[in-house]
Amino acid sequence: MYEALINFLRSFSAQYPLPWALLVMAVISGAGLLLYGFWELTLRGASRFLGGPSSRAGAPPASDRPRQ
Amino acid sequence: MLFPNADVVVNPALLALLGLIVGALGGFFGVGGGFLITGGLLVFGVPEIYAIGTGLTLIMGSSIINTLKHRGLGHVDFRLGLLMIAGTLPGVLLAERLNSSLEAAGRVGNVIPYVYVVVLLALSSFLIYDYLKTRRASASRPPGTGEAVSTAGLTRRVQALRIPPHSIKLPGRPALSTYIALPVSRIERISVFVPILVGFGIGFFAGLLGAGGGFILMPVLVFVLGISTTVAIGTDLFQVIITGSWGTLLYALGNNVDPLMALIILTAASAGSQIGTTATRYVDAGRIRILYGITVLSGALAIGTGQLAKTSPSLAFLSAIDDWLLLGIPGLMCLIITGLMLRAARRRRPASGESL
Repeated sequence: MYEALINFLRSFSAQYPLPWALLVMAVISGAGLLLYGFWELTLRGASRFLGGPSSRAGAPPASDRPRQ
Repeated sequence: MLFPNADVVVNPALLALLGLIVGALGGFFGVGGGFLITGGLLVFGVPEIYAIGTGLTLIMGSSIINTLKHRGLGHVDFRLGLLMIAGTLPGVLLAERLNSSLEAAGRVGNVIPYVYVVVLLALSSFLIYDYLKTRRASASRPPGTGEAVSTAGLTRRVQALRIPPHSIKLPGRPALSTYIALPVSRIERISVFVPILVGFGIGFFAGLLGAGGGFILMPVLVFVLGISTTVAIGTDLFQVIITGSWGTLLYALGNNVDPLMALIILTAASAGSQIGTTATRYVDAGRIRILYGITVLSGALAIGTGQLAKTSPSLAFLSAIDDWLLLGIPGLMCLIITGLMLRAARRRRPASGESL
């Protein structure tokens, strides 16, 4: 399985540069969105379980603009 | 574990540790973490061009996560980010051409680390200077009355810059002003060419150094454009998505990216970014900037000692110091950030009932 993956990655990247580049971008962007969703759900679930408001609620910024 | 595209064996646990640190610092400082990722991958023995390409790919992924998180906190000025992107793309393209020429001439391995060291040293020195100069003013200011920065005069002048053309005439439509308001950044009026030029400069650095450019952009937004640190962090991350994507495309076309390596680091980085982004709600801006300055300084020293270690066999022992500086100090910084966040959250919670 791992060998097959290695062979695919090597051959596809060498033979098809543009589809390869787009595939890399799609996989990493998709993974980023999935991981963001996963953590949002996990933290909201944890927050609800612990009885507090969700992580976005009532979030005053720690600071504001530079002094002019 | 073998990473087939880069053709190198690296321990995935080390990559995960690097990802955790990069994610936490990225969320907290608003940087993609390129100087850490590329430097870290070089320490792990990844070939230079793959370290840069994979670094940019990871920057793209981790910036997506961090931007979405900061958007929820109201820290992203999309209008400003889009304007900067208009300048960033040609900047990255120009730098990538320059990088390819240097690589063809066999100079890429020599040039990049030295440029890195100089830029990081200059940046960290300025951040430390600014902190020392403004800390009394910051301490005496009541909460919510603004950040004290040493370049307030410069930010006023930059915001007031008048760059022609002042309007663009479109057929059949009234003239379109080239000055806009940026309410999220609390800028009443600024020429659109200012953010575009800033974006171009950042894009050029990003492409040249294999970084997202966030490590320069965040201080530029604060100290040159006069934007608050938290909005600078969020907007910076949004802009870094585009820089990282463009860089990823260019490097992946040349088959200089290892996606398997990037995926492992990204998964760990997503966990770290939860800590970093949440901490920006609790730690004051002055502290964020000085911690950033120290982190950047450690990056500069790490890359500098790494280069020194290569110059002579008698200096080879420096490579161990290099590894510690590169990963140890940012790792320590993650612990400090977590500690500051927990302390501040504990102080606030009784009054507001707020949870992390």
